[in-house]
Amino acid sequence: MVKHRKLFSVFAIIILLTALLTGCGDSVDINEKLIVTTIVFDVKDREVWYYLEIANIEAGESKDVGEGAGNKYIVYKAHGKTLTEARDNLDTQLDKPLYLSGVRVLVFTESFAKEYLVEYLYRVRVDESQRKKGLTVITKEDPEELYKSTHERNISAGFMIEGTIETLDESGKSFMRTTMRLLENLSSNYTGILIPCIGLQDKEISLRGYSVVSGSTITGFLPVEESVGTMFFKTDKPKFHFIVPYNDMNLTIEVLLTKRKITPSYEDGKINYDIKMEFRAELMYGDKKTPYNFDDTATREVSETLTAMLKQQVSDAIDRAQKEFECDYLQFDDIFRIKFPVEFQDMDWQKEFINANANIDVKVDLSTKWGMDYGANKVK
Amino acid sequence: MIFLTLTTYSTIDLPKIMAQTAGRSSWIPIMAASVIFGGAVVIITKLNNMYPGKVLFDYSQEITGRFITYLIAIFYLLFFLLIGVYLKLKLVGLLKSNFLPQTPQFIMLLMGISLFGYVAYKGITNIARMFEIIGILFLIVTVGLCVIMLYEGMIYNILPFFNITETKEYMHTMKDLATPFTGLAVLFIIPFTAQNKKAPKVVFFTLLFIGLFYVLIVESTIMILGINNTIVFNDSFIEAIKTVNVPVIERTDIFYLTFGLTSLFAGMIIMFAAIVEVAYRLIPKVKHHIIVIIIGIVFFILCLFALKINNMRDVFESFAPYLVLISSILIPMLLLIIAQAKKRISQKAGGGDSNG
Repeated sequence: MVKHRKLFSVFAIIILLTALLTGCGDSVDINEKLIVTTIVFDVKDREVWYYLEIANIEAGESKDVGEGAGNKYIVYKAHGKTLTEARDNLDTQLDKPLYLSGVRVLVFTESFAKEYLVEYLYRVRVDESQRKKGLTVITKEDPEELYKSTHERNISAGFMIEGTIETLDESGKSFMRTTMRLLENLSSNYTGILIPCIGLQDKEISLRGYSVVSGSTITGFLPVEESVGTMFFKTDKPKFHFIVPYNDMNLTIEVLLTKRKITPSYEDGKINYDIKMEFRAELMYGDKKTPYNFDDTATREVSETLTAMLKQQVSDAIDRAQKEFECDYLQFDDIFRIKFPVEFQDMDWQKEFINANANIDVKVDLSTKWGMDYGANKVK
Repeated sequence: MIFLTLTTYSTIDLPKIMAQTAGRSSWIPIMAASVIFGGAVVIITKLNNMYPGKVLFDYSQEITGRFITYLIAIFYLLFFLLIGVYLKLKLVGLLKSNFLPQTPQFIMLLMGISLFGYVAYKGITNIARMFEIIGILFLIVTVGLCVIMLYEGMIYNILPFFNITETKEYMHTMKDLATPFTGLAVLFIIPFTAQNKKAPKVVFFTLLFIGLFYVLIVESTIMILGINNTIVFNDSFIEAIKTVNVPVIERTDIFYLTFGLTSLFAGMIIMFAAIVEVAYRLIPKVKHHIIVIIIGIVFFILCLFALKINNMRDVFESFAPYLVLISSILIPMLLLIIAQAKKRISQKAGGGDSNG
């Protein structure tokens, strides 16, 4: 009996160990995969073009002196009549499977986004291996030029774009939205979004503005230089510089939004928003020689001018969204839904938004930049 | 801690189930369900307390007699087996989609069942000790990630907290909530000592705590994914974790699953132990290890059959609420009522001892 038990144990262990070996089929070395850092899509001559930026991890190790041996990033491209066809064509070129969990940025050209934005993003959603916390941006540039500008310096286009947007977000001049958040917006009943639009400025990648997405396609473009008022709604802690005329000089003032409160009301079928914004403003310098004699009266006068400027920015931002783009990318829909969930359910927000009224109240707390004294009126 | 490990399975798809029914007001039915099930565990612990050192099979013989006890035991055996199969398939599904896409599923079943069987063979006390560590680790990691999700998520995704139009879905939601509270009946296999007088209060608050834990998971997932994404993804909690930005850890989902899987294993082990325990009471003459092996084989065969069912989840969830209702609420309640009645009768007769 004891003899049999031993035999049985040995037999069981052999079977289990053999079974364990089947797991080896799933072991794939990361070196055996193509690590994708950026995906760019374009539509040219009615065909979808697929550009992949792959991190060339063998670049450092390779001793070959051939073309591309020292490039840190390689671009694969393919095209086809549909998204699937383009991808299938791309697959025919790949010597290793793709690794999509490292994608930093998805870049769509405007022509691609107009046609395929929803379809492709839904494709991303269904692929559980694809990174969805990366960014999605739009571009008006030729994808090859985008890659060229960065690859000449051995920098990844994806990392470059991500870094640019991230820096702007941190400094309060723009905002970051993950692809996942975009997907949520595209799945809602009402869709109004701004997607950062990047381009080349003197061959350098830079933020050029924002593409307006209404419904499922791109309907407009908001240039970055005209987007300050909009950023007061979209960014967490917007910070901008304003040049305020005072007497015969121009003062440069740093403005930081400290409080934003938007209260909706709904009476007799009319939507109204009370928008309260509080800013902290700091006088940095003027374009004339000191002394500025910046006393209480001056502070009051400059504050009034600045308040009017800021109010105009906010008012223009709402006007543009309502009249020019007819798209609620300011997220007024969420604010209204939270307060009036039942009424919101049956609304056609597209129609309601453009007729909504807004009362804007702006407060500015102006002071001199910490550490500076512009009140002194004597020069020695 | 035992409850906690059993919650792991539910955490993954709970936000999806909640979001598609009660939407942003999900926290209300979750808390209501945790109070109801809190009441159920109080009944179970009271029963266990009335018969210190004994488990369901022992004392139900005193309460209802041999025949009904056997019926109850067979019911629990089948119930635990069904849940075991369901959980095991969920585990295999999770492993397949996240870690081992090419490994044959029956091999994962074989390995899992051999391991769980071995641990269950070692007995319930050892398992409970192991849970102390795994449960705490799992709790810390999950709550930690949820807090980061709350911080990174959008508050407007979960607002308003109450929407009157969603209230009509509450009853439907309560039915769905039966599955996350499936594991309560395992309390029947744990014998209580005489010192467990505070147990009913403790378990009630534990259930409330689990309710809060579920609310945290649902709310943080909706905050980071948005309500529509939460509905679309079956494993919405994992997707939400993938979207979180944590310093140093790029693949947050793998980090979570490392702890989550340990907890999933622990949950599986307790189910296996429950099956073995009940089977052992039913056929006490057979040796313990023989029972473990037989159950392992039966379990394996059942899992293989279940693998062939495409909509396993829908099938299970269509009848699970009723089984949970019977096993966690109805049977304990009936047993308690009969036990109390018997106790009173025997006290009136003047000859009853304190144990009924």
